[in-house]
Amino acid sequence: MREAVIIGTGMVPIGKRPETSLSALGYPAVLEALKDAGIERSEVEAAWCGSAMSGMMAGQRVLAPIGMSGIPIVNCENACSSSATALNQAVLAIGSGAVDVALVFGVEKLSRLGGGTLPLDPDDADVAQGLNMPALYAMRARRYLHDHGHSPADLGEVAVKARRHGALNPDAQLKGEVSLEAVMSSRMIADPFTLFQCCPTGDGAAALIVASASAARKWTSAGVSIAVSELTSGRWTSGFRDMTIPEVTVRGAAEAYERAGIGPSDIDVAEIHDAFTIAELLYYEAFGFAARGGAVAALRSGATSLGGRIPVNPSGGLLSKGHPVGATGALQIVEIVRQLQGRCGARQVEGARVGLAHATGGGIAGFDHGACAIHILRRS
Amino acid sequence: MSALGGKDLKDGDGVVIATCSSCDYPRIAGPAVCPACLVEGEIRTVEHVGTLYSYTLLPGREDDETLGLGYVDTSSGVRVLARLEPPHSRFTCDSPVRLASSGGVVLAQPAASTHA
Repeated sequence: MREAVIIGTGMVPIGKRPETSLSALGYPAVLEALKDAGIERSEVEAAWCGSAMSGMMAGQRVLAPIGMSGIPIVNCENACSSSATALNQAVLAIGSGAVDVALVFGVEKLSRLGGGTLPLDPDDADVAQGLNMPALYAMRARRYLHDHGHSPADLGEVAVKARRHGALNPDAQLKGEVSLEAVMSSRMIADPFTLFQCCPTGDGAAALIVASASAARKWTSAGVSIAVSELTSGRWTSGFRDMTIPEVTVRGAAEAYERAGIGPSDIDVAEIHDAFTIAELLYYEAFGFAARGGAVAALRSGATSLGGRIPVNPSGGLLSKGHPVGATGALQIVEIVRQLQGRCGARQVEGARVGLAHATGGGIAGFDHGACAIHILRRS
Repeated sequence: MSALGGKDLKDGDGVVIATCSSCDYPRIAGPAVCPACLVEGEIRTVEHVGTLYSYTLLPGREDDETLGLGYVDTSSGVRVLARLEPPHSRFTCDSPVRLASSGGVVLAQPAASTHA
């Protein structure tokens, strides 16, 4: 399959913009990506849009005001991995030779939902009993604390790290560091999660210009190669599942590493799906950044902080940078690309050459997660 | 996580489990087709007890009171999401529970033992 290269990135700062339309939220990111790539709109042959809550034709609605239409536009919905899925599909299209230049973007306007937890399918068996996303992750957390003898404060330290990183990111939704005391004393949402241990809801957009390697050379030599684009779905079961081992991520990570011909120690920087504090810990282990049960120790050692062996979520992650659901995958990729290009200022991971982005999606009865997209990127 | 089909629960003690008559795959009673082998035949039994795998408490979710939710592993191999009967301090991970259902809602209360 042909190699795909990211030649341009764009994003809008994440926050709450109830007065901004979906298209006005999305197209500035697209324009920035086009400018960053140095290409004209007419060079884009097809577009993939990731959004979970924007209704029909989100891609077309975002692109029409900037005169982009009449090309194939595919709308992807995979919950929180929507725009990562969109990138996967564009990579496949480029790899097959169907297109040479693609636009991938994610957009989400959660402020239109009015706050609170994300609405899930009321026909879902678990949702019918009262399950929401904080509750689901909280049960993972409680079991993890039970199995490994950790305390709720160990979870809180994840939020402290996230906010420490996010304080260095001018585009983050939640800026400013917080103390462990402040994290633990914030309002209880789903025991053991307090408010600051849950990602905020907000609005955001991010865009990528992706080209075949041969096409990319027309515009830049500073593109970032997509070594692997791995997409899979969770395996449904009616019975027991160890909720502290995220099966879809474990499986996706193994496949991604094998396809890239690398292992965990080869990753210089990672953006992983820390929707709630426990998630980051579980994913350290799933990606091999820590041994089973060793995530808390890895966190406390500083290994996953800026300056550590494997900085995780230098952007601040979902907990601090924010989580505009369908846009999150593309936002993670923007961060990784810019890290590999040395453009991240105070939060730059020095010498980063290989980056990993990970987005999981969906709360559905019987699944670990409904979808998981993992990308491994390399500096060209 | 628990299986599909919570709407098909019958009122009364326990949770209705459907076991495929062809491949023995167990699930919460609901859609007639077996997700493992697609056969539509099933044998229904009622599970009264289980072990609490994990749980959480959500303040203000139930008429401004705390809602307790937990995943219960039954002896038939099916995992069920249940509401925990207050007071919630009685529950811990791996504690035995008794199951009941009412109006499609699965309820769990502490049990001294999961053995009959």
